[in-house]
Amino acid sequence: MSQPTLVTIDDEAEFTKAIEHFFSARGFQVRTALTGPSGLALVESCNPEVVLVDLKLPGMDGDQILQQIRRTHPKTRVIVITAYNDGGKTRDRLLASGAFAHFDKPVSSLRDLAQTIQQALVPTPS
Amino acid sequence: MDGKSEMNPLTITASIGAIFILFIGSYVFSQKANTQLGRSFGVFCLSFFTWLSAYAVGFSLSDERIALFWFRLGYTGVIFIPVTSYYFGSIFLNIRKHKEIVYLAYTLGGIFVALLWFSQLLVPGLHHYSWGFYPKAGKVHPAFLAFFMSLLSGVYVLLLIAYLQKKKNQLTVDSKRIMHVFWALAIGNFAAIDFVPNYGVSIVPVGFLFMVAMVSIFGYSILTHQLMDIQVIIRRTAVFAGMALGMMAMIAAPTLAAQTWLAGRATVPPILLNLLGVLLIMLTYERMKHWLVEATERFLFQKKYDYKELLKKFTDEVMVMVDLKQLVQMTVNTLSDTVKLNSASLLLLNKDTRTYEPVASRGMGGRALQLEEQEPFITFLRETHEPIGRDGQLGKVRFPESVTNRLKDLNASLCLPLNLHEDLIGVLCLGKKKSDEEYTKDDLDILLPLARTLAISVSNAQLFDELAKTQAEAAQKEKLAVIGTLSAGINHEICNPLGIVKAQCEAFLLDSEDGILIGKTAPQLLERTSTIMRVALQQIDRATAITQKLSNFAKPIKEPTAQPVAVGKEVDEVLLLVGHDLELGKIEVKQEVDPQLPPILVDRRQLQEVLFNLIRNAGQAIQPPGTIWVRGYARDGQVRIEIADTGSGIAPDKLSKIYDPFFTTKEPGKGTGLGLFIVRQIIERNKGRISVESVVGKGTTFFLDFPAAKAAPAAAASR
Repeated sequence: MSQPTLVTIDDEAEFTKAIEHFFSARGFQVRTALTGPSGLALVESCNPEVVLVDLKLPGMDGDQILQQIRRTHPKTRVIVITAYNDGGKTRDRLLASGAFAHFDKPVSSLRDLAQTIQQALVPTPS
Repeated sequence: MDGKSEMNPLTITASIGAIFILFIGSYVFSQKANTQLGRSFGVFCLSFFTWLSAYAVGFSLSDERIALFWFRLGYTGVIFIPVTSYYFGSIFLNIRKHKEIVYLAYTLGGIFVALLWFSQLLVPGLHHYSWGFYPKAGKVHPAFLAFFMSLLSGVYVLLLIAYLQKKKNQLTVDSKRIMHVFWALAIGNFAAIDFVPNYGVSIVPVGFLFMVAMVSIFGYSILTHQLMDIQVIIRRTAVFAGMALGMMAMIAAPTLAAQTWLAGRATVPPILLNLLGVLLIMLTYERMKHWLVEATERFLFQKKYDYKELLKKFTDEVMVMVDLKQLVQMTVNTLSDTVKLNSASLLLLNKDTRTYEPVASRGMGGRALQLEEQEPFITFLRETHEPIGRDGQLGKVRFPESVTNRLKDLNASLCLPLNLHEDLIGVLCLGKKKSDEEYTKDDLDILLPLARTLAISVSNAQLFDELAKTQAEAAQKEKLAVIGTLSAGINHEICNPLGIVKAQCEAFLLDSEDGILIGKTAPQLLERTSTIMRVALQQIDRATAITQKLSNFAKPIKEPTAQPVAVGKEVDEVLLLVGHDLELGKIEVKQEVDPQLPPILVDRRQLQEVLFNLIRNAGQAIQPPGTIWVRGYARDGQVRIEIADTGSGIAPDKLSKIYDPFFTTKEPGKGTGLGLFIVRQIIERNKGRISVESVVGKGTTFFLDFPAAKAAPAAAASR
């Protein structure tokens, strides 16, 4: 199995840098985008296994990106990170519309995130 | 007796008495002409005046025939003295059924007048005494004396009966009042000695002076209407009489001097000289009366003079106050200053404790009494709407002891109820007057309407007070609602930096745990840790900034402190707080503030609050997706800020109400309706103006106009 590809889309450059650094060191090929449209282009070009996307993005929000990826790349797992603590409403909505997982910001633990990404790499029996 | 050119001293004293009575009579009459009491007193005085003035002339004459004419004229007055006394007495005691007796007395009086002039039966001629002529008693004179005495006795009897009745009914004040009249009459009685010389006994007839004293007392008591402390009346009467006599002396002295001087030079008949004196007095009378009335009003009836001022002060300055504390203190101060009171206080009902508590006082020496709603004193005021005075005075209503005792506790002589409809909202307590006088009906005529108006003013001020409290509470609620909106933005602005710091640190630790850092060189490790630290510091600063902005925003607004403020910068800051929330709700916010815009002179935080409210409202009016424009540009030398939305718009009929407190078009629970009300208040306090245009279905635009700060002419000129 070749290196899995992880695309992270987040307008917080420092956050993407940390993610990139962390997952590169753990055998991922990490690609980063700071806006929604550039993120989608990136997904299009490198067909990643996992996409880590911030819900609130300039230009196009996480919801739209999720829909788009679900349509064009059904095998790509999308993990959404949100900073809005609204009692699980957003989480439920995202999971219902096909997100693989949901994380609150700040991400409780990179270890957990890594674990979830590892789970996402396991193909579902379909 | 033929001392033709000698001036008879009796002429002077009788003239003084006559003119004094004329003055009192006409003064009382002019003040109280609309009352029967005033009119009856007028004719009472007229009979005295006729008597004394005609006698004054008579005393000065040497020709017996002419003198007889004048003494008969004077006697006409004497005949009517008992008649008018009885008339006056029955009016004073309010006895209507004695009308017939009054008519009979007048008829008998008429008969005696006829006998006087057309027969020798009453006054057939004159006695020649060493001190002058005096009427001789004729054959029917004893009958006249009987008539005279019986009418006066009648008055005494009426007074006594009334006195005993009032005393029985414990109307102490009324009974006292009657007693004063009784004693005044008794003093006047001494004038009867003037009948003695009629019968040939040579004593100087100065009894009329007692009559003058009596008339003075009556006059005063009628003017004040309430007979008060007899000492006060006598003191006042003395001052009054002294003043009048002083005036008379000033006139009489030159007249006398002129008469003496002329008498030595020319054969002018003394009657002419007398007429000249009378003419002089008449010429100066109007002027003198004017001066005397003014002086009397000023020094004796000071309260009347000051009450005009009191009313003016109250309507102009006090009643218009909406600040409750100021209103009550001003009321107490104005009252005690103008009415000249030793003390005054105001109690208002505390609706929570149901007690009447002092809210303002003066001269109370720290005494502060609270009254229960249920106690008799309060119930009395509430139920009767009548004032309570000391010693059960003030007429009609009698007060139980439990009620009057409270007056002492309150250090008050008079307590006025502040009634509003059926409620007693407060009690106005007035202490003793500095002059020691009692409160009169005249006082009450002014104080009672004043208390009624005061009740309305106080109630208004209380409503304003409550409204202000409600407003403050609602504003706080509004802020809590705002915090809900803010939390999204705050979350983003605080959680993102925290997430970054956390991810950086955690990544390093996990790298270390997982052995990823093994084999890294020292400079590599140093660079890695330095990066983490730098990023962490940056993000901490970022989070700190947002919390400061938030706490600034949440602080209660005090007085605005104007400073030059750049509109663009403030819009950016507000958008930082509210923008995330809107974008999350698919509402685009476009900031189009001209960077060259001159600054405006406003309170920075208040401007932020206004912008925040308007942008938030715009967001709430939009069914996403939509757009909000925040524009800023110069216009007519002013700075205009525009907040436009693509929202649902406001119907024309509601557009005029949007600034009303508690008006809202939002769903229940979403808005308190105070946003725009507060927004407008703030804008106006910052010398700005707000206007609005709205098209239903298209959107709403708010325009804020502020004067450009003069500090930046360069920026303004560059436009």
